[in-house]
Amino acid sequence: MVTTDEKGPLTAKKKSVIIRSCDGDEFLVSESAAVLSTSLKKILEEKEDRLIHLSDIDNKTLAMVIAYLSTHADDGLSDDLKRSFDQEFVSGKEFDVLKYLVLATDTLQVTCLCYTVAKKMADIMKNKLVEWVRREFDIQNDYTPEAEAEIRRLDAWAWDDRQLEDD
Amino acid sequence: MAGNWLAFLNQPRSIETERSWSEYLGEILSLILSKLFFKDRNNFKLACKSWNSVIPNTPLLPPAIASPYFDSPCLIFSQRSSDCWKLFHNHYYYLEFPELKDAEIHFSKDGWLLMSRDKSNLFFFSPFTKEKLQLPPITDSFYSVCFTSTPTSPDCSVFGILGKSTRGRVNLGHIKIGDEEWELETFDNGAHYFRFSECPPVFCNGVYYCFDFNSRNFRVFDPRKDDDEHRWITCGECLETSEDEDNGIKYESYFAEVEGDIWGVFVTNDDRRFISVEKWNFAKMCWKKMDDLGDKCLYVSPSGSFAETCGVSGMANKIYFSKFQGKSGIMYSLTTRMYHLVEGNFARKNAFGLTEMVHGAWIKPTLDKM
Repeated sequence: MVTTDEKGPLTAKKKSVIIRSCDGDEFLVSESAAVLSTSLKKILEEKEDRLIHLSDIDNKTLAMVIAYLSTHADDGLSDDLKRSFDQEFVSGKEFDVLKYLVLATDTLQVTCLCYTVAKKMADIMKNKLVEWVRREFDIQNDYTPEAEAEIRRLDAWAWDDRQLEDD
Repeated sequence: MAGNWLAFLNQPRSIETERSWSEYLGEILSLILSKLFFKDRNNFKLACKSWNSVIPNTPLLPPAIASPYFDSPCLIFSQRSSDCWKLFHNHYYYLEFPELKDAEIHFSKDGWLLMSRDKSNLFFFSPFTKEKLQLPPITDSFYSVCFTSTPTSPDCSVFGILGKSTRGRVNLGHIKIGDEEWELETFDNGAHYFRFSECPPVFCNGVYYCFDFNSRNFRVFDPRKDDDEHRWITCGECLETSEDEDNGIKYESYFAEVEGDIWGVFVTNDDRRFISVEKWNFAKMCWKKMDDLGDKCLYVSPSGSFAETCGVSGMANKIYFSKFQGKSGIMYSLTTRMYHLVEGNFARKNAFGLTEMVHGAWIKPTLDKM
């Protein structure tokens, strides 16, 4: 076989873009990774500039998203490896971190990751008290006590004998 | 670096200030919501008014069909002490169906239950949509009964053996959905002692198979034939039952139609130690033992049994019984030849101490209703 692998890391000269977070940190990302985000792909199609400033994603979150994009853009990795990477990616992450991640993936339109993160968030939300949900999402309860009691009464079937968690 | 970190934590994040979780993050919230069920879904609703508005106005129990959580069936059974019904799917969910007061389940298929309240009052019920379809009244109660397909489809029929049947004569009742009256028929059941299995008849390739209590011979009802001789076929004693040596008393039998075949699940020995799955050989008229179920798993209950093709690894080659160890569901692995907890570490060879939900039925939401 004498074909040359154009995708090989040594032969291909990869184009890169610079992505800047809202706190000013810059990340060098291969274009093949960046275009996995539908939003970044659109931006790159529209402008010559190789610097993209994201005013609403912090550096910590952006670093995670870029790690995800780079892994998924790596042709050398099998689909199985990418899948296990996805599982690893969300496991053990704090709820707060996932909240920023899901917003960032929504903004950047990284559908697959957005879906994975939302599922992980739902997993954590299971068996939690409504107070926990409000606290974690910084939600003000705008129900009147009567309205809240009425909803609980109507949905009484849903509260079983499982222990609810509030940690 | 530590200073940077602190600054990073303290600075207001624009993402959070611009977009509030209580307001217009509808799409993300819908995505999260699609993974929450039952109580957790209600918690979501309770968080605040705008979150409540994200909840679609779908029926009470809207488990998203695409969700991996509901790719597998749940076991539904009545909690006899109250009007509550329990749905088991890794956890218990308590459902209130006032319309099902004093009703019992006879058969389950394609996401629908065939139930009755008293002798003559038969109806279909879908616990997922709470849809109820009433059947015309019938004078006698059924000993065992089944239906062929989703009752919303025009070719659905209900067929059963009536309770007043004797060993010599059998009384049948059947109806096509949409018809106003039951068709009642009586046939000679042959001179031999014949006691029907309590399992519902099995509809397979257009005819109904009614097995006897030890599963060795059966009667066939063919609704397509006009003359008595071919409409009710008496099949003789099948001597060669299977190659299985432990052919003792069958403490439990279940039958399922699987892709044009009939599979039987037989539990022998009083500690329910021996479980075999056998396929009916139509040509030789005998059961043939299956070594494994391939990519299938079986959901068995006295109110009907069915096979599922397992998309998720680890589920295949197992039999999900309507049995519990405490609050955990039990399945039997044909690989290990042991009973296991559906979730958790537990393995044993016999079924001692397990609770059986005799009035329960496995049910799976189907696409057409969701």
